[in-house]
Amino acid sequence: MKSGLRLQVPCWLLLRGFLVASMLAGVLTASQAQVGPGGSVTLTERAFHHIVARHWPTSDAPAAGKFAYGTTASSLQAMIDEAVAHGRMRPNTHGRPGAIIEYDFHHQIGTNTRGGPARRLRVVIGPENQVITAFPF
Amino acid sequence: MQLGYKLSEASWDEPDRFATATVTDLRYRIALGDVILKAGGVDLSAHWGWIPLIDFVVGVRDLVRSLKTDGSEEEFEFTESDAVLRFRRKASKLAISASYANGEAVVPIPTVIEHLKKFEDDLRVELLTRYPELRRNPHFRKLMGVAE
Repeated sequence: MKSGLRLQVPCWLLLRGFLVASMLAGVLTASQAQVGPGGSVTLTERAFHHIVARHWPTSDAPAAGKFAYGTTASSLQAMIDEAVAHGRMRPNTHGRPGAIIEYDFHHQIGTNTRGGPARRLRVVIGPENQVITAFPF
Repeated sequence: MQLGYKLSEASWDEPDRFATATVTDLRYRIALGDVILKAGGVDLSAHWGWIPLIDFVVGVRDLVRSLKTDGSEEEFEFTESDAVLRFRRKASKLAISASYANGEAVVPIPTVIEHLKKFEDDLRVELLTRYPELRRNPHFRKLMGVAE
Protein backbone atom coordinates (compact mmCIF):
# COMPACT_ATOMS: atom_id res chain seq x y z
CA MET A 1 0.00 0.00 0.00
CA LYS A 2 2.74 2.39 0.92
CA SER A 3 4.52 2.15 -2.43
CA GLY A 4 1.20 2.26 -4.25
CA LEU A 5 0.36 5.55 -2.57
CA ARG A 6 3.77 6.88 -3.35
CA LEU A 7 3.19 6.27 -7.03
CA GLN A 8 -0.20 7.84 -7.32
CA VAL A 9 0.45 11.24 -8.81
CA PRO A 10 3.95 12.60 -9.02
CA CYS A 11 5.59 9.62 -10.60
CA TRP A 12 3.50 9.82 -13.75
CA LEU A 13 4.88 13.24 -14.28
CA LEU A 14 8.38 12.23 -13.36
CA LEU A 15 8.34 9.43 -15.86
CA ARG A 16 6.89 11.30 -18.79
CA GLY A 17 9.39 11.23 -21.54
CA PHE A 18 12.01 9.81 -19.22
CA LEU A 19 15.00 8.32 -21.01
CA VAL A 20 17.18 5.65 -19.54
CA ALA A 21 20.34 6.88 -21.23
CA SER A 22 22.41 3.80 -21.63
CA MET A 23 24.49 2.75 -24.54
CA LEU A 24 23.66 -0.66 -25.94
CA ALA A 25 26.59 -1.09 -28.26
CA GLY A 26 28.79 -2.89 -25.78
CA VAL A 27 26.12 -5.36 -24.87
CA LEU A 28 24.87 -6.40 -28.23
CA THR A 29 25.98 -6.77 -31.78
CA ALA A 30 23.61 -5.43 -34.39
CA SER A 31 22.86 -8.88 -35.69
CA GLN A 32 21.76 -10.24 -32.34
CA ALA A 33 18.68 -8.14 -31.98
CA GLN A 34 16.85 -5.31 -33.57
CA VAL A 35 17.95 -2.82 -30.95
CA GLY A 36 20.64 -0.85 -32.70
CA PRO A 37 23.97 0.00 -31.16
CA GLY A 38 24.15 3.40 -29.60
CA GLY A 39 20.44 3.49 -28.89
CA SER A 40 18.83 4.49 -25.66
CA VAL A 41 15.97 2.81 -23.87
CA THR A 42 12.80 4.72 -23.20
CA LEU A 43 10.50 4.03 -20.26
CA THR A 44 7.20 5.60 -21.22
CA GLU A 45 4.30 6.36 -18.93
CA ARG A 46 2.39 3.61 -20.71
CA ALA A 47 5.09 1.04 -20.02
CA PHE A 48 5.29 2.15 -16.42
CA HIS A 49 1.52 1.74 -16.08
CA HIS A 50 1.85 -1.76 -17.54
CA ILE A 51 4.62 -2.69 -15.08
CA VAL A 52 2.63 -1.38 -12.13
CA ALA A 53 -0.44 -3.36 -13.20
CA ARG A 54 1.45 -6.65 -13.53
CA HIS A 55 4.49 -6.46 -11.31
CA TRP A 56 4.07 -3.91 -8.57
CA PRO A 57 3.87 -5.36 -5.04
CA THR A 58 0.24 -4.29 -4.92
CA SER A 59 -0.61 -6.11 -8.16
CA ASP A 60 -2.78 -9.21 -7.94
CA ALA A 61 -1.71 -10.55 -11.35
CA PRO A 62 -1.00 -14.26 -10.80
CA ALA A 63 2.21 -16.01 -11.82
CA ALA A 64 4.08 -12.80 -12.50
CA GLY A 65 7.18 -11.65 -10.65
CA LYS A 66 6.61 -8.77 -8.23
CA PHE A 67 8.89 -5.96 -7.20
CA ALA A 68 9.62 -5.62 -3.51
CA TYR A 69 7.56 -3.36 -1.29
CA GLY A 70 9.26 -0.01 -1.17
CA THR A 71 10.10 -0.02 -4.87
CA THR A 72 9.46 3.43 -6.29
CA ALA A 73 9.32 4.82 -9.77
CA SER A 74 12.81 6.19 -9.40
CA SER A 75 14.26 2.96 -8.03
CA LEU A 76 12.65 1.05 -10.90
CA GLN A 77 14.19 3.56 -13.25
CA ALA A 78 17.58 2.99 -11.65
CA MET A 79 17.26 -0.79 -11.90
CA ILE A 80 16.37 -0.65 -15.58
CA ASP A 81 19.24 1.72 -16.14
CA GLU A 82 21.68 -0.65 -14.44
CA ALA A 83 20.33 -3.70 -16.25
CA VAL A 84 20.64 -2.02 -19.64
CA ALA A 85 24.17 -0.88 -18.86
CA HIS A 86 25.49 -4.15 -17.45
CA GLY A 87 23.02 -6.92 -18.26
CA ARG A 88 23.07 -9.72 -20.78
CA MET A 89 21.06 -9.04 -23.89
CA ARG A 90 19.52 -11.57 -26.24
CA PRO A 91 17.02 -11.37 -29.05
CA ASN A 92 13.41 -11.80 -28.02
CA THR A 93 11.99 -15.25 -28.66
CA HIS A 94 9.28 -16.80 -30.86
CA GLY A 95 9.45 -14.04 -33.45
CA ARG A 96 8.60 -11.32 -30.95
CA PRO A 97 10.16 -8.04 -31.97
CA GLY A 98 12.97 -6.52 -29.93
CA ALA A 99 15.26 -7.90 -27.26
CA ILE A 100 15.45 -9.13 -23.69
CA ILE A 101 17.96 -7.86 -21.13
CA GLU A 102 18.59 -9.79 -17.93
CA TYR A 103 20.67 -8.68 -14.99
CA ASP A 104 21.47 -10.21 -11.60
CA PHE A 105 21.56 -7.61 -8.82
CA HIS A 106 22.91 -10.14 -6.31
CA HIS A 107 20.35 -8.97 -3.77
CA GLN A 108 16.62 -9.42 -3.56
CA ILE A 109 14.62 -7.01 -5.70
CA GLY A 110 11.28 -8.77 -5.43
CA THR A 111 9.62 -12.14 -5.62
CA ASN A 112 9.46 -14.67 -8.42
CA THR A 113 6.41 -16.44 -9.80
CA ARG A 114 6.55 -18.98 -6.97
CA GLY A 115 6.72 -16.29 -4.33
CA GLY A 116 10.39 -16.92 -3.58
CA PRO A 117 13.09 -14.26 -3.53
CA ALA A 118 14.06 -12.84 -6.92
CA ARG A 119 17.43 -11.21 -7.56
CA ARG A 120 17.28 -10.83 -11.33
CA LEU A 121 15.48 -8.33 -13.52
CA ARG A 122 14.21 -9.04 -17.02
CA VAL A 123 13.62 -6.02 -19.21
CA VAL A 124 11.81 -6.53 -22.51
CA ILE A 125 12.72 -3.92 -25.11
CA GLY A 126 10.70 -3.20 -28.24
CA PRO A 127 12.04 -2.59 -31.73
CA GLU A 128 12.26 1.15 -31.14
CA ASN A 129 14.21 0.72 -27.91
CA GLN A 130 11.17 1.30 -25.74
CA VAL A 131 10.61 -0.71 -22.57
CA ILE A 132 7.65 -3.05 -23.03
CA THR A 133 7.77 -4.65 -19.62
CA ALA A 134 10.17 -5.36 -16.76
CA PHE A 135 9.88 -7.80 -13.88
CA PRO A 136 11.90 -9.61 -11.21
CA PHE A 137 12.52 -13.32 -11.54
CA MET B 1 -6.10 -33.37 -25.56
CA GLN B 2 -7.70 -30.09 -24.57
CA LEU B 3 -6.11 -26.89 -25.86
CA GLY B 4 -8.06 -23.69 -25.63
CA TYR B 5 -8.30 -20.23 -24.18
CA LYS B 6 -10.49 -17.88 -22.23
CA LEU B 7 -10.37 -14.28 -23.32
CA SER B 8 -10.33 -11.77 -20.47
CA GLU B 9 -13.03 -9.13 -20.51
CA ALA B 10 -10.65 -6.23 -20.17
CA SER B 11 -8.93 -6.69 -23.48
CA TRP B 12 -7.21 -3.41 -24.24
CA ASP B 13 -7.35 0.13 -22.97
CA GLU B 14 -7.19 1.75 -26.42
CA PRO B 15 -10.20 0.38 -28.32
CA ASP B 16 -9.89 2.99 -31.04
CA ARG B 17 -6.48 1.67 -32.08
CA PHE B 18 -7.20 -1.91 -33.14
CA ALA B 19 -6.68 -1.07 -36.81
CA THR B 20 -3.33 0.56 -36.17
CA ALA B 21 -2.00 -1.62 -33.37
CA THR B 22 1.64 -2.60 -33.80
CA VAL B 23 3.12 -6.09 -33.66
CA THR B 24 4.24 -5.29 -30.12
CA ASP B 25 0.69 -4.30 -29.18
CA LEU B 26 -0.67 -7.52 -30.65
CA ARG B 27 1.92 -9.69 -28.96
CA TYR B 28 1.90 -8.03 -25.53
CA ARG B 29 -1.19 -5.92 -24.94
CA ILE B 30 -4.18 -7.17 -26.90
CA ALA B 31 -6.38 -10.24 -26.40
CA LEU B 32 -5.18 -11.26 -22.96
CA GLY B 33 -6.51 -14.30 -21.17
CA ASP B 34 -6.02 -17.83 -19.89
CA VAL B 35 -4.63 -20.87 -21.67
CA ILE B 36 -6.20 -24.28 -21.08
CA LEU B 37 -3.86 -27.16 -21.82
CA LYS B 38 -4.68 -30.67 -20.64
CA ALA B 39 -3.67 -34.06 -21.95
CA GLY B 40 -3.47 -37.58 -20.57
CA GLY B 41 -4.46 -36.53 -17.07
CA VAL B 42 -1.86 -33.77 -16.93
CA ASP B 43 -3.03 -30.19 -16.50
CA LEU B 44 -0.62 -27.52 -17.75
CA SER B 45 -3.23 -24.79 -17.93
CA ALA B 46 -2.28 -21.22 -17.09
CA HIS B 47 -5.23 -19.35 -15.57
CA TRP B 48 -3.39 -16.07 -15.25
CA GLY B 49 -5.65 -13.73 -17.16
CA TRP B 50 -2.77 -11.79 -18.71
CA ILE B 51 -1.38 -14.19 -21.31
CA PRO B 52 -1.38 -12.50 -24.74
CA LEU B 53 -3.30 -15.13 -26.68
CA ILE B 54 -2.24 -14.07 -30.18
CA ASP B 55 1.37 -14.27 -29.07
CA PHE B 56 0.78 -17.64 -27.45
CA VAL B 57 -0.73 -19.37 -30.44
CA VAL B 58 1.67 -17.82 -32.95
CA GLY B 59 4.68 -18.62 -30.78
CA VAL B 60 3.71 -22.20 -29.98
CA ARG B 61 2.61 -22.86 -33.57
CA ASP B 62 6.00 -21.77 -34.93
CA LEU B 63 7.85 -23.57 -32.15
CA VAL B 64 6.12 -26.89 -32.85
CA ARG B 65 6.86 -26.54 -36.57
CA SER B 66 10.55 -26.07 -35.77
CA LEU B 67 10.86 -29.40 -33.94
CA LYS B 68 11.80 -31.46 -36.95
CA THR B 69 14.08 -34.13 -35.53
CA ASP B 70 13.68 -36.69 -32.79
CA GLY B 71 14.97 -35.33 -29.49
CA SER B 72 14.83 -31.69 -30.49
CA GLU B 73 13.36 -29.40 -27.87
CA GLU B 74 12.28 -25.81 -27.39
CA GLU B 75 10.84 -23.68 -24.60
CA PHE B 76 8.00 -21.22 -24.89
CA GLU B 77 8.69 -18.22 -22.67
CA PHE B 78 5.66 -16.39 -21.32
CA THR B 79 5.77 -12.65 -21.80
CA GLU B 80 5.40 -11.49 -18.19
CA SER B 81 7.12 -14.20 -16.19
CA ASP B 82 9.98 -16.64 -16.19
CA ALA B 83 7.50 -19.49 -16.57
CA VAL B 84 8.05 -21.70 -19.58
CA LEU B 85 6.33 -24.48 -21.48
CA ARG B 86 8.79 -27.12 -22.71
CA PHE B 87 8.28 -29.09 -25.90
CA ARG B 88 10.42 -32.11 -26.75
CA ARG B 89 9.96 -34.26 -29.82
CA LYS B 90 9.84 -38.00 -29.21
CA ALA B 91 9.53 -39.65 -32.61
CA SER B 92 6.03 -38.76 -33.82
CA LYS B 93 4.91 -37.36 -30.47
CA LEU B 94 5.53 -34.24 -28.41
CA ALA B 95 6.32 -34.34 -24.71
CA ILE B 96 4.99 -31.16 -23.11
CA SER B 97 5.88 -30.01 -19.61
CA ALA B 98 5.83 -26.74 -17.72
CA SER B 99 7.90 -24.95 -15.13
CA TYR B 100 4.76 -24.07 -13.16
CA ALA B 101 2.98 -27.44 -13.05
CA ASN B 102 3.80 -31.08 -12.48
CA GLY B 103 3.65 -33.80 -15.06
CA GLU B 104 4.42 -34.37 -18.69
CA ALA B 105 1.83 -34.74 -21.42
CA VAL B 106 2.77 -36.84 -24.43
CA VAL B 107 0.64 -36.14 -27.47
CA PRO B 108 0.89 -37.15 -31.16
CA ILE B 109 2.22 -34.22 -33.17
CA PRO B 110 -0.72 -34.17 -35.62
CA THR B 111 -3.07 -33.87 -32.65
CA VAL B 112 -1.12 -30.91 -31.28
CA ILE B 113 -1.12 -29.22 -34.69
CA GLU B 114 -4.84 -29.84 -35.12
CA HIS B 115 -5.63 -28.32 -31.71
CA LEU B 116 -3.36 -25.34 -32.34
CA LYS B 117 -5.15 -24.68 -35.62
CA LYS B 118 -8.51 -24.79 -33.86
CA PHE B 119 -7.20 -22.46 -31.14
CA GLU B 120 -6.01 -20.04 -33.80
CA ASP B 121 -9.20 -20.28 -35.85
CA ASP B 122 -11.44 -19.79 -32.82
CA LEU B 123 -9.38 -16.86 -31.56
CA ARG B 124 -9.33 -15.19 -34.97
CA VAL B 125 -13.10 -15.45 -35.31
CA GLU B 126 -13.77 -14.28 -31.76
CA LEU B 127 -11.44 -11.30 -32.05
CA LEU B 128 -12.80 -10.25 -35.43
CA THR B 129 -16.32 -10.50 -34.07
CA ARG B 130 -15.50 -8.43 -31.00
CA TYR B 131 -13.19 -5.99 -32.75
CA PRO B 132 -13.93 -5.89 -36.48
CA GLU B 133 -11.40 -3.09 -36.96
CA LEU B 134 -8.70 -5.72 -36.53
CA ARG B 135 -9.44 -6.91 -40.06
CA ARG B 136 -7.84 -3.70 -41.31
CA ASN B 137 -4.69 -4.31 -39.29
CA PRO B 138 -1.95 -5.73 -41.54
CA HIS B 139 0.03 -7.16 -38.62
CA PHE B 140 -3.01 -9.01 -37.30
CA ARG B 141 -3.78 -10.37 -40.75
CA LYS B 142 -0.23 -11.62 -41.16
CA LEU B 143 0.09 -13.12 -37.67
CA MET B 144 -3.31 -14.78 -37.69
CA GLY B 145 -3.57 -15.70 -41.36
CA VAL B 146 -6.54 -13.54 -42.26
CA ALA B 147 -7.35 -13.63 -45.98
CA GLU B 148 -7.27 -10.31 -47.85
